[in-house]
Amino acid sequence: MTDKAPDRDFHDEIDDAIDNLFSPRMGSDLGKPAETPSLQPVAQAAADPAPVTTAPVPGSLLSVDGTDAFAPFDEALLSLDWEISPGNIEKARSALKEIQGFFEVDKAVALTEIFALMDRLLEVMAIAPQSVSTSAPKTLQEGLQTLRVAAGADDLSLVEKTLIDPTLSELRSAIPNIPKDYSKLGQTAQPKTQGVSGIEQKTEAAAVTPVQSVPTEEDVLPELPVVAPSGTSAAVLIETVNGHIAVLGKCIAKRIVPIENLFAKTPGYEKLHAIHTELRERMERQKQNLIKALGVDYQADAPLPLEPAAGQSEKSAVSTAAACPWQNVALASWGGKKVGFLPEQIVYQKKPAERVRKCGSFLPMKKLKRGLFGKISFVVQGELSFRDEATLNMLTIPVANPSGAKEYTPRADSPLLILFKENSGMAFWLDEPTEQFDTSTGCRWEPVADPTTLVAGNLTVNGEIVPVITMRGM
Amino acid sequence: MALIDLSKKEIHCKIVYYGPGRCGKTTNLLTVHSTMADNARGKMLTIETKGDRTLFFDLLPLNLGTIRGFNIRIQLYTVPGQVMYAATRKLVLKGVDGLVFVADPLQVRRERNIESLEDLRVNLLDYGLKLEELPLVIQYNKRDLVDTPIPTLTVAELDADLNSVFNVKTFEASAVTGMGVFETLREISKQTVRYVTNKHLLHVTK
Ligand SMILES: Nc1nc2c(ncn2[C@@H]2O[C@H](COP(=O)(O)OP(=O)(O)OP(=O)(O)O)[C@@H](O)[C@H]2O)c(=O)[nH]1
Ligand SMILES: [Mg+2]
Repeated sequence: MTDKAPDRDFHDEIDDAIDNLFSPRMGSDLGKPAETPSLQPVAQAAADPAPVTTAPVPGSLLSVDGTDAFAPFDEALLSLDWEISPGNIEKARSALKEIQGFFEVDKAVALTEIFALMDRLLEVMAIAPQSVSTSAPKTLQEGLQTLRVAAGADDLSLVEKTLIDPTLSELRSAIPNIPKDYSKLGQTAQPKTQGVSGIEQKTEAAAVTPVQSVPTEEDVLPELPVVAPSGTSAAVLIETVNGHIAVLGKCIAKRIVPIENLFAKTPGYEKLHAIHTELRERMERQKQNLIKALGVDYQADAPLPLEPAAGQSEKSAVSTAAACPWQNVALASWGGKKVGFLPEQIVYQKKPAERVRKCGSFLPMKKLKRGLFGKISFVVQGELSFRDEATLNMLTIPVANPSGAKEYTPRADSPLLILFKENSGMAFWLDEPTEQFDTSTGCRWEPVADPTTLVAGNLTVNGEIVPVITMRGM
Repeated sequence: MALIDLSKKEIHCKIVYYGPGRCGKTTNLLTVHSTMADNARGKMLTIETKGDRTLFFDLLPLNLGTIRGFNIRIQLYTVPGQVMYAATRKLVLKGVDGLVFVADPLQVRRERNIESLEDLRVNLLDYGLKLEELPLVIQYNKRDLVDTPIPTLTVAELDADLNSVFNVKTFEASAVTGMGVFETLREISKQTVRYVTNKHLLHVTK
């Protein structure tokens, strides 16, 4: 690049500013080109994103006898990281077996499950690569790190809680089953019986075969029993599966299809469109499989699962309680009442300037700009952060009125929260900022079917009923 | 995207991290983001839905502050490196002012680096831009792997493959440890701001 600047001093000042800004806590040589081959890791703070360092191998361990046995697997994993090919998978699997052989017998026994899950994950990658997250090689890397540490540990029980257990659960959750987001919808505990009849499920079912490991959460997902259960449990099962089909259908129609269509008509979003098409097709296949398996027991108009059926025996362990479809809900008090919002729909949540409080029932988004050069896109997040400034400038959002009174004036310190989805939004003056609530920590969920209300359903949290407000979009 | 608004006295520069899939572009931005002070950085926007592969782009806005009354903002973007996302890569390049080409040192990725650099050159041409005329630095990432049994390319090999024509500044780096990340960023930022201000013949008097 040419250095013929119109004004050297101005550029010198810029250079200084850049040096100041981009040397935070680094203290390393400034702007030196490649001839510095120093490989010392710099500032610990910068190491956060390193995935491979989560289970650090003590330096001393690397020289432990036979540690080289890890190298072929390490290398195979790297190849896999680039390309999931049958050859690379085969290489990794045999390298993994080699490692297992290298362990002392009692350790090898204690680590069986890790080996089994790693091998199983590799196998799934071979059979159904499209169903495995691209981070699977990374998960395997972490497994490898754990094995390394285990190899050097005198006493495995010391690392069991800190290392082995977390690795096991990572591996388990890396082995795919149904799409994650929907795993909680109408989740049903089915008998863990193998042997799926559908043709469609060939790949997914095969993915669950050979290594006999301890049953995991995923093992319990929608595989169909060979031997039909009888009596009450059959009835409960039929009802549950029918409910599950209904939920699947609703998910497809209300959630996937609108998004898929939206992406279809938005240039540049082809990939997301393709992903949603694939997701929808997979869900539709699942639905068809379940319908086929139910045969005459299929009820096209089955109600969405709500509560465990009355009188259902505790022992049947088949829960039909509807799980909240969202892992997290943002709870807040609004107009003195506790309500919930979907975090992914929150596009703005701050205490805005005084002038915003005087907006009344409609809030022009441009009022949210901060400072002279501020832009709306600097202050919004989520879906709105993809809109261009010109569009945002024209956007006016209705303000929800908790009291029903004619004119509502927010308190001077009320945080403002804006929900937005597709083309609709709503603003809320809260009494206090929201708090994240993890719905898996025990609460009841009752969906509200009425499409005319913004309440998607009611959560019961500690005995209190909390309506969850969502924008339903198109 | 280069934007100089003289009335508002704002200078915006767009720097794109380009390179083959998995070379560490996103990790560069994550490292910058996690290391910088809050007041200088904006929110990092990562749009990705498949594992940790970038599907659209990552965006990290940085604020250089005010110099002679000019508010200077730098936006760092990454492209999705995977071959299939050609269209998105091109889209992200639109309006680029400066480029960091991140190269992967793994021997098995040798061809991918070369292809990706060529892909960059061709995409720019479609926007009427010549790579040799834009601010460009090359980063040889993942140097932490050099000491491992994994076969890596030497700096000389990387130079020969990627830098024999352009002969630009190169940086050895390890995006996961932070080594070289800020050195790369400093250099490309200086070149880019200079380029943008020169291009617009911005004359700032004392
Ligand atoms: N050992 C090592 N690994 C790295 C380094 N930089 C990135 N990685 C790893 O390489 C993998 C890919 O890194 P990303 O930053 O996601 O790569 P990317 O270039 O953004 O990839 P795409 O989004 O697919 O184009 C991750 O597992 C990173 O942790 C590095 O300097 N050293
Ligand atoms: Mg990326």
